[in-house]
Amino acid sequence: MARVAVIGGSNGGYAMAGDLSLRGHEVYWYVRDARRHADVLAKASVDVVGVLGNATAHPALVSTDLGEVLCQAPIAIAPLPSNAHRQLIADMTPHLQDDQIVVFTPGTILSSFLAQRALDSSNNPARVTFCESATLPYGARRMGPSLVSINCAVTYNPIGVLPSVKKERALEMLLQLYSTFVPAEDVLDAALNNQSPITQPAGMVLNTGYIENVKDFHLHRDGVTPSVLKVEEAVDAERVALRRALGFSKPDYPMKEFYVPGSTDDRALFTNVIQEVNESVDYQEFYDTYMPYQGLKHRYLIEACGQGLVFIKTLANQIGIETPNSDAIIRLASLIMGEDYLVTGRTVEALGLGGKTVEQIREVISGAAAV
Amino acid sequence: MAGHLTTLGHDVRFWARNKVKLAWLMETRSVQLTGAINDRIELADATDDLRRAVRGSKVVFVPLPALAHQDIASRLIPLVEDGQVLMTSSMSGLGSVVFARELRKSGRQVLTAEFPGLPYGARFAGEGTVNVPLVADIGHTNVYGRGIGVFPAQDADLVVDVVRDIYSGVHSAENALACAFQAWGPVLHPALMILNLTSIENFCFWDPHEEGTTASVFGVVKAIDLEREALQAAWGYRVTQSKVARDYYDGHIKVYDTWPQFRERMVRWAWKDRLDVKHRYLTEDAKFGMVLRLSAARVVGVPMPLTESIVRLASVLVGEDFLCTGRTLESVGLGGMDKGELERTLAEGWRN
Repeated sequence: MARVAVIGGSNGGYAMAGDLSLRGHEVYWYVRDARRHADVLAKASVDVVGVLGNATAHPALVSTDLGEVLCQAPIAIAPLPSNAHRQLIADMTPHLQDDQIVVFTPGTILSSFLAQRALDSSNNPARVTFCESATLPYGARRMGPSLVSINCAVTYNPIGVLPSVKKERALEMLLQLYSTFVPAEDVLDAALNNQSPITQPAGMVLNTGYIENVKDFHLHRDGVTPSVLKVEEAVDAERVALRRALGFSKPDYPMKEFYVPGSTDDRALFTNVIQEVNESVDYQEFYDTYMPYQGLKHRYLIEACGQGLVFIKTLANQIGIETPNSDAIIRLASLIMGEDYLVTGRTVEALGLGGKTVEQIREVISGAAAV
Repeated sequence: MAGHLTTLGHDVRFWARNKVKLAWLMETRSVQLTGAINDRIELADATDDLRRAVRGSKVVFVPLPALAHQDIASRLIPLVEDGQVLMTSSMSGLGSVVFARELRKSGRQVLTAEFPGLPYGARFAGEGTVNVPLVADIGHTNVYGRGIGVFPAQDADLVVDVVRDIYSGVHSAENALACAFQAWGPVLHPALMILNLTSIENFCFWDPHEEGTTASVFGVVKAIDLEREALQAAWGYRVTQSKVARDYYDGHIKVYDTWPQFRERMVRWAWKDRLDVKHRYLTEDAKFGMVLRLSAARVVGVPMPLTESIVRLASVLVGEDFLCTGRTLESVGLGGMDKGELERTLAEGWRN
């Protein structure tokens, strides 16, 4: 059994702290906001329901002190939306230790690389291994002060390691936690198999009227018709073209396989998600105990478009691939959100990879060369 | 249109291709109009014989979607007579140029012109009845208060003289392209479809004009309209206010009515098309109307990124690259010209 730090009080944080504790791991759980997470801080326990069973989990520690949590475990996993990563990385960097493994699940896109760069330019001399997976291992929602519902679990979760030379050691340790991790070539290979930037922004934009009007929107249940799927496939084709141009091979976990199992010769990250999510009576897309209905101001646009699709588009354009479909979705999402994601989002330039060729990018991402 | 013009005392010969579907009309020639016009009218003629309808008419109106222009043009051209005015009324624009191009082959002296859209909102409401919730400024039959397009524009006075006998308030826009820029269908319809896609496919009751027009949806429509206005400005044409983008907030510009009233009437009059992605809201307004604007924007170097985004998504949905198959300046015989040359051609027609 492993000692592991779980970083964050997100839906995924609740699921992960609960699931890993129930499977016998020693979990040190960091939550930032004492008020939002008062219940789990007081009880040091979380109730888990759903596809992985119903039980009460007992983490070894629940704390609002990031340093205290990080010094306890050789592995730290951050199941947080990536728009929170810049702040997290800044908070975390001074506390990282030699040989520690830090995992972003997911890193939408290249948070592992951002973390490595932040560490390089800090006073902290520690040598850390950063990893990034394609997805959160769960579909989960926090349903109450200390209750989380896990509605589906990942089948394949590609994971990359930075630097690549640490791949073997990191994977050996991480596979103890999740047998669903599948080794990717590097962190970029893993990150570019994340489906969220494909399904979520298009699914939101094409449902703008409904989301604002009906105020009970469930992306996978209400939001996907044959026409929406057509647009998502067109956007996805641009992602796959980018993967090929970068030299990454199949599996591509194509978006279509996600909604129409068995429709391609490839595979999906989640194999039964639609059925599992739709059968779950308590799964609510927009549920959040402490916030009202977010409507369009949801991470499905803020994160998946601003951090994910924007990166895919700008990287593809930089190496000569046109992305008219991604462009259209980003343009509309920017207008709807009143924020130009091509300026504020996670572009290739924002990651310090602007102007680089395929070879240079692959070299930097593998950790073999400095930026 | 046939009904309204009959109520105004004109001698209207109505033609439709589909004899079976409109058998009731061909037999009785009689239509009950409801809505803004409440009248039972008797058409002078209703026929599937195009020659019979066209012969001796002063004006030939073609109030059909742009999709039908090419086909109707080839049927109509052999039949038209010198001195007639031929007028389209599609929101997509340049119908007059499409017809004029066909006419060149025939040698007939026919004037071609276009409305910036249909002057009516109308739907069949079962056999014998047509709902007409909307008539453009019915008081003085002033179509939109905006200009009609005449191609070539040098014939504008001749055409306006003839058409004023029917629509008294008509005046001419700078030219056919300026007229095309005034239509609001391409601003409104494709965006409403795309931003309400799932709802349209899932719920037969979902009306993008009503439930589907939320603040964010309207924000997109408004931004598309700003691109349209920038296009008008770049071409040096009068910047016309699109009813949707202004009335919704201001409510004082009289076009049809204010936008909220417009919506209310649309809904009250059961404006419930069964929509799908093959509807003319995409296959006409995006493919013909928006694509034409993009094509005209390239000539003057005006960026229209939102218009482009909508056209791209519409292309994916319909499974056809509208930038290639839609109505461009090239596709109507106005390709390969700079702005000056284009304006000369719009004013004087093709040389040779």
